Amino acid sequence: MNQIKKLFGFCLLSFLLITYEVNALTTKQATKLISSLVEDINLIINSNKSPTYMYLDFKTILTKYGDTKIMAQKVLGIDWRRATVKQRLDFQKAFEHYISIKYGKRFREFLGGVITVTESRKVNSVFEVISVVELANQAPFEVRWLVASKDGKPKMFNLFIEGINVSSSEKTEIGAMLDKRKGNINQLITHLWETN
Amino acid sequence: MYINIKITLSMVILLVVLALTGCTSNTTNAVIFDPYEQNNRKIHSFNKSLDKTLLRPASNTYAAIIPEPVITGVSNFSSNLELPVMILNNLLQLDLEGASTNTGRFLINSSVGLIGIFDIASSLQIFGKNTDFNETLYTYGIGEGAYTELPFFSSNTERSSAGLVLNFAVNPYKGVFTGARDIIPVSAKILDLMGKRHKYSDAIEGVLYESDDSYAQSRQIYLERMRFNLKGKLDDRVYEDPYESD
Repeated sequence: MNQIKKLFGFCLLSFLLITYEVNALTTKQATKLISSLVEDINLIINSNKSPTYMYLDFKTILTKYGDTKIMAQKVLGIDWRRATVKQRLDFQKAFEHYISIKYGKRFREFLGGVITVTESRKVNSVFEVISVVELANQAPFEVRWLVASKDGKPKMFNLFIEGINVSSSEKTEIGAMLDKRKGNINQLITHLWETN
Repeated sequence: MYINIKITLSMVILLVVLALTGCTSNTTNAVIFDPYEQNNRKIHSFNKSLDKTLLRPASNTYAAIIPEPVITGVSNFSSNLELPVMILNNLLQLDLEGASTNTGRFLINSSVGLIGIFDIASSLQIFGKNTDFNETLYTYGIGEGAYTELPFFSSNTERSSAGLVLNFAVNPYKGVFTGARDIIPVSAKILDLMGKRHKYSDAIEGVLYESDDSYAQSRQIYLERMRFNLKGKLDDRVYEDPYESD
């Protein structure tokens, strides 16, 4: 009886350890993902590259660390469902272009700044990685990144600049664009490609 | 004179309290509560035309003719003048840490920083804590009420509008800038605004002139940022796993 108890205790302990290990590993993975993402951004904002290259670099970062398909799906919202497979893919590509230019432009404000990952935590089944942006003679501010596991691999799917939900404000914006084009997804795609 | 000030102040406080009890309550628990949207949109286009015809050209001219160090100096001077009211708010919120760092900032910048022109405190990594009456009212458990776009003062809520009224009522510079000098704080603030309009021009123009719905964008950005700064955390609803929903 005692032995069974011991065995049971041992099993429980190993189970707990394993789940802890798995959990720790993923938080670690999420942190690692965002740390290298932030490192790449630091390189861009401290390089003296022309804005055009900055956008391209940003696009590379976005597609390397983020899941632009899920981002595109979220911002298109309910209209994603009625989009054809081709439209979905075209929209995703156009969205990547649009978002890189729009946010790539803003990197000029970060010139000479440093972004540092300060903490990470698991909330429900996603990971929140908090980073702090330090610019010369300015109070530091937070950029938070959300990471989820896509087929076991960590992928960034949303970010918050001083609490501003990028996915959600883009959903509002894309929604307004689509309304203006009477719901025509193809026209929306063309419009996104025209971003400069 | 003193009694007069006291009476006006209590009147203002009474009005603000009345206004707050009259805050529209958000019964739907919606993230964006904007029952006066139609009216707000009208004010938004007024503010936009104000920016287009006045603020934007003025800021560009200001930035073009005035050297950058001077612009920064004026901005610093204006921000420094705002510290006493921030300290008052820190105290009203019982935030002693914020009150002491802001006091530290004020003392350093007012003295070594030559009446606030040089932001020595920031170079010493003393950033202080930005706060206002909106945060004080929030600390006292008052809800934000409906979203309100105010002429000249852009994005607000009913609560922050009440905060603005209190901010005007508590004028710490009565008797400090006397006679013709009493326009100094306001002028500095306007120049500061122009400097910031130019400095953050990319971000501001992006929202105001490049968006297909600048009203919805400004509203969302304002509300999310304000709530995040007050609560120090994101809304619980954002932590939804995108791969689980379908």
